[in-house]
Amino acid sequence: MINMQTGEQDGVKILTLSGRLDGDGSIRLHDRINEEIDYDKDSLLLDMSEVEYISSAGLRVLILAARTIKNEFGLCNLTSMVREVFAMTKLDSAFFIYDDIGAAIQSMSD
Amino acid sequence: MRQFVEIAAFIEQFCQAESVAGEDASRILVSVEEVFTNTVSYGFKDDSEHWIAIELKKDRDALEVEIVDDGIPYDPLTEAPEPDLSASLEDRQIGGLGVHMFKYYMDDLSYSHDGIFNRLKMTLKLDQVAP
Repeated sequence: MINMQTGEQDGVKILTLSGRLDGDGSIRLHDRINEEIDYDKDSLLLDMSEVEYISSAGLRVLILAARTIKNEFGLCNLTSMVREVFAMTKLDSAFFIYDDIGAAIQSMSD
Repeated sequence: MRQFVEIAAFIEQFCQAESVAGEDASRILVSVEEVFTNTVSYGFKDDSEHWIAIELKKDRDALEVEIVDDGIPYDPLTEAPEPDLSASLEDRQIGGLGVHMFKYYMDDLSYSHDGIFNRLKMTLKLDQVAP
């Protein structure tokens, strides 16, 4: 199960996620990004403060998003379990990861 | 994918009943999800019915998971591709990340094949939780 809320701040689209980024959740996230994001124009920030679970399916969706979004793509408010996954897969240096929304928007907006 | 939702519920219920801490339950869930997904995606090469059995056993300070399936013989511990963790985002292969994850989380992993079934055993040493 995953819940997603869209928002926007300073020209950056924000998707607030809540639940599990497992096989099912990742498909839903992928579909939602497809529906709402213009891959050529938009910047996207994922607020992960309520995501305590991520499997390799979740990593796949994030990697795909990072590859296809031409503008900025960032993650913020990672929980400790998700941080652990990013560290063990050495993806922590591959993504733009911010401590909070404020820091993310400051960096990502024009 | 849909079947995994039921499996996840089963594992969660077990962990709750056995007072397994949330983060440990998540580690077990992710590990089983990775093995299950790989088996369903790659282990069954024909259209006949197949099955996967998942058994959970809890000791005082450890939880053992055994996953048995009747798919093609495959040992994820030695046969899965090693992911290149130094590759850039553009070059990253997703394959292998799942195996990497459950090998990281779980202790005491072992695989055997008895002529018919793949058997994968993994144990998680549990963090002590105050009752």
